[in-house]
Amino acid sequence: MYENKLWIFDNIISVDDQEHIKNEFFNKNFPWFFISDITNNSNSNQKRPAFQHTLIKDSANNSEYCEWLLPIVKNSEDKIKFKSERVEHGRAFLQLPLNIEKEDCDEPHVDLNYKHLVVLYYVVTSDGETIIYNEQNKNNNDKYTIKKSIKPKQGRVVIFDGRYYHTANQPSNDLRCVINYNLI
Amino acid sequence: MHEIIDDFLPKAVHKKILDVFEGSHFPWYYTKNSTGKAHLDEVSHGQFAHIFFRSQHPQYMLSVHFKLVEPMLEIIKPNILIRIKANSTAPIQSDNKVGDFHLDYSSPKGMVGIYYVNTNDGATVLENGEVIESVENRFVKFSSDIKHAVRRHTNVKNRIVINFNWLD
Repeated sequence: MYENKLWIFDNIISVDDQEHIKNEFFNKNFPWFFISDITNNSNSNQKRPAFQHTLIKDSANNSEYCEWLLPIVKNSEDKIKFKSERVEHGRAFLQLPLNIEKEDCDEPHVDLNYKHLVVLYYVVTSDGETIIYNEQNKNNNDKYTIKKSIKPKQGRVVIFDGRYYHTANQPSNDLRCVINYNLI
Repeated sequence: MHEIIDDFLPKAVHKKILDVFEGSHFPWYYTKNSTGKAHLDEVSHGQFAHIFFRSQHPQYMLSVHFKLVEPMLEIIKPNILIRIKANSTAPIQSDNKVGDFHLDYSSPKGMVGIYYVNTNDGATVLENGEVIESVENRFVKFSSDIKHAVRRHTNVKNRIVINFNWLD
């Protein structure tokens, strides 16, 4: 259904809803949790920290903010005419520029080691492009080739086969805030 | 004018605090900037904060993580506690820019204390030019009527301090 596919849609939810999410996330009452490496890769040497808010964990609601963000998923599914069995994980990430001299991107990764669909929503317009590679089921010696580079834009969603290795550039000028869903 | 106490807490206690702050279960709250001055946005993208305690009515607050700062309070022995807040900031790209001088609050018996959780090239700058470098497990205290500012850091991915306000 979504194998080897990639879609990009702008304004996946209304501008009012986009603003509501942005305001809620940047409200001083919204809790964020430190993670030492945004790619969640214990083998990574980069150790680029970020702040995370887990909305859905192992298909279970993990946040009081979970429900009102689900239109992002529903509208995305409608756009590509796909109905998931469940949302396995839903996580919001907030990154501040880290003053990294070497402008390499984060460690390429896949979110899950089994078949899934990624729905990545951009809460704000920023730098720190998402990079999706052509490679799937990668061997260590394979080189990555870029399939698509996507600039974070408020209200934009990128939907892709989760088997594609992907990563992001670190933001250098702006706050970068995304919501990442893994659908089964 | 100020008093610095190095090795403020036993090493194991300091490590526990650092581990909790850098763990995945401690909530941080994003704020646009640290002193409420919008023009700082030029160099700052805001910070993450956690209020352990705030006495001001009606915004009284007591964190479920308050126990984490109790070892410090046992040493500080405040007469009246006003606020305890942890700040986690990301580095800036220009060298060690000093932010706005400000007062956290002002009171005849008011005191400010800063506990430096990690070492970095940031610092606290007092209005008379004195500089307190960010050294892990260091505590500095000074009168609340002394204006102070942050000298932003560049060399670590996050600078963490705990800020105490109290009356002696």
